[in-house]
Amino acid sequence: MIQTSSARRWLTGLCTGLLISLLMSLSALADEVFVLSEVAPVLDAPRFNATTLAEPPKGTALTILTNENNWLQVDYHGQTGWVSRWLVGTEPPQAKVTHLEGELDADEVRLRASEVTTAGAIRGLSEGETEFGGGTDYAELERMEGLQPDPNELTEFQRPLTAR
Amino acid sequence: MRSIRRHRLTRVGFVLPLLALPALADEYHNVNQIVGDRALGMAGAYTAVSDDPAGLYYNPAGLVYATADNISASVNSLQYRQIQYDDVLDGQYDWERTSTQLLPNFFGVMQTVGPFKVGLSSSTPDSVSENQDQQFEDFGSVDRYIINLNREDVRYNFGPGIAYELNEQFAIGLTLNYHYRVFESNINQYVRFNDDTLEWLNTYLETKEHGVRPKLGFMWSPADKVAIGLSIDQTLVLSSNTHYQSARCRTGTGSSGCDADGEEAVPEIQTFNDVRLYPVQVRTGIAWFPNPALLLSADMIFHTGAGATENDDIIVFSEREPTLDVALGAEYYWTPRYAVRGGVFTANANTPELELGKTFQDPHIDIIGLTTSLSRFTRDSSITMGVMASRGEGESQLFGDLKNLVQDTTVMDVSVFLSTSYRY
Amino acid sequence: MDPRTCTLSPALCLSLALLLSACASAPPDDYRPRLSQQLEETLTPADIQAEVDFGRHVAASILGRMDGLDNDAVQRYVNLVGQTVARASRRPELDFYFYVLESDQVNAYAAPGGYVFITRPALALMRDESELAAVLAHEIAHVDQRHIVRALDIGATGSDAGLAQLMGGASETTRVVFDQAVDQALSILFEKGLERQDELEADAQGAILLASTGYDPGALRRYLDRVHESGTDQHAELSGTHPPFDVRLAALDRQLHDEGLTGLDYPRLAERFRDRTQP
Repeated sequence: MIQTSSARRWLTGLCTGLLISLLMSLSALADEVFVLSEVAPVLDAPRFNATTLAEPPKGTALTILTNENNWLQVDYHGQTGWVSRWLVGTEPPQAKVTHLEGELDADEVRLRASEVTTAGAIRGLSEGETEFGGGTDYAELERMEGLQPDPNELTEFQRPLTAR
Repeated sequence: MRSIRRHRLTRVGFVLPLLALPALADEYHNVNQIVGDRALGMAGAYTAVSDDPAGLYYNPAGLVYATADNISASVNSLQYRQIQYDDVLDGQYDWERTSTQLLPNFFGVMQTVGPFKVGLSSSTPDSVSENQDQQFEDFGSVDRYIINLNREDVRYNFGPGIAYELNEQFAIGLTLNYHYRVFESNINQYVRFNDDTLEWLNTYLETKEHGVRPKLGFMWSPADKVAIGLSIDQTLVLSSNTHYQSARCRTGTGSSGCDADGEEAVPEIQTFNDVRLYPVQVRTGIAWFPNPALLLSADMIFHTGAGATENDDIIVFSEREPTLDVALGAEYYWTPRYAVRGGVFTANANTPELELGKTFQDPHIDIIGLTTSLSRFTRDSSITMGVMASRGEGESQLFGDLKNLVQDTTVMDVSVFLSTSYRY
Repeated sequence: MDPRTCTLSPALCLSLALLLSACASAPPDDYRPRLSQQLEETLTPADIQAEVDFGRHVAASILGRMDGLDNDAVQRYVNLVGQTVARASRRPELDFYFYVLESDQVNAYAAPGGYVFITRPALALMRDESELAAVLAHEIAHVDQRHIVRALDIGATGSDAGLAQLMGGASETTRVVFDQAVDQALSILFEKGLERQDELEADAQGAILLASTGYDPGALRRYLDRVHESGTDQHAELSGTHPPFDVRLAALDRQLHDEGLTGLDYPRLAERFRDRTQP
């Protein structure tokens, strides 16, 4: 019965190998999310009206324990709590990216805008007209971009909200 | 009526009786390999899920609900199988057959084309390869008994599918698979009796089938978070080629060489072109998606019976009874990156239960299996590792003309599988 | 199911239509996506730069069609509210901009990259600051979840890589594709709308943005109710690009209840809203 016992050995080996690899993979299963919002309370239940346990700063990695609908149960410095999935993400926060800066870039965009209308002309549209018409208005866009408040004004503005 | 699956080998004195050709799990069950990526981990309870390329196998209508325009999935498994027949020889010696095989379990791709989802898949819904090499000494009137058996039986499905969403609650799909099956069996048996006479047997059997396997699927969403799937298919064999040859030899006490003794000694290849009849498969499934992390699914798999194929008085392919099988599966994502699945399935015998007093009965073994798998995801891909284990106990009649002898039979199967899936 | 468009036999179609209309429910696309689909792409700085530059061009195109409200005080106020809510977004790499448009429609739009617009009639329909915050939060959520970029059909390799290539390309072909992508984005904003699931997710994230920045999370619910009741032409336009109101309201109610967002007694700031929007 040489063949039989070798088969049994093979099977035992297979099962052992499987068990070991499963155990190894289990230890690697810790999954993290990163706090991406400026405000991401860790609560003691998956509800906003629960008690806030901590407010980890943006960029903090939280180990996921389990999930329930739109909430993740996480470990934060040994504390177990719940955070809304809408305030965290599976990739760490990125550095600030701003739109093309200064006059030079604005020129470039204007240049591109004219290229676009040229491309529109190729497709049978008359000069300066896309399918949605109207073309572009970068001057007004710059007005829009110039409306951002300064930080102090913003802090002052948020006072009635943060007072809770 | 005789069957080519059995061959007479008798001897005055010790009786080495009719040896039925190998009987193993696949041919006598309608549920065999469980194919697919997520589907495998969920024990094949996938008819109401089917929202990835595996839908081409379970329910093509499900492709409509795929969550990416393009998906591909590939699954490979390493399978170990063991079958044990108790007390086969002299009431005490067991037979054991094993097989190890690396199988291309499933490959499928799908994409969105206009209002349709189209896909192409290749699957191995049935495969067994088995091996027996055993030697027994000094029992009854036998000095030495050797049996070598090799057998391979693989079914391949390959073909395109298309699905269309009729409205928000209803979808329909069709898969048209090409069916190819190849079966090959070799048996060598050598017996040396105590009186120095010899008896040997060599049998070869081969069948190749070409055919089509159309599958029509429906998917219905009758209520929030609930889906019901239905699919119907049948394998239709268009051409089949079976070769059979058996050579045997017995020596008398006083002579050398094979004596006549009224038995043939010179082999002759017989050819049959009769086609095997396959049952109609009806799969119904229900799935519940209570939240994005949990999915529960159940399938009921009904196969009709299938008639025997006869050529004159020879049974080329024997009759099959209807079966009803069940598969239950669950999937749970405990983080967005990891999911675990588990399932249980039955593979009931499509043969009648054995009865003492009857001859040439097919084995009857009901099997229950468990599956589990673990997936790790990125946004656009996943890798999955899983295990499937099944076991069944039943009865076989290895020596078909010994009407009062059946063998307790245990089938055990362990598979490890790896799969990858891409969305783009 | 409309029997006129049905390719099956009319009798079968009719019976199916009856059967199916008898049990209306959320479509499968709402419940089938699994948790793994919440995983985000790994975005490179070039991807994000492309998103911002593309969004900026879309925003300039919107401004080519519509003028801004000529009242800096109101514009600044809307910006203050928007910046307050945007603090809770998951895109700290983006600068958000907010702008009130002159239009006869009740609507709000978000171009990729952080450019958020709201129309003057929409502002006029609001009763307090939390409602303004709610509408802006919904639009911030679209930007946060990159709904428009994902809905664009650029190349075969996925939207991000496609967009980055498009912004870096100088050939005539990439310019044509760029132009088409801008048209496609405008078409999504003004005609076709986003996927229903995207709108529901923007509502869901919007409520969380409100609650975590201290605004009454029930504000969107109240605002939508009023839009619905106003029942004017504007309503038709808004619903053309958004899921049916009853579906949105039901989903919001369920979320407010399940996630403990009711009875929080967070400020609505009606007085400040009145003071700063009605000169």
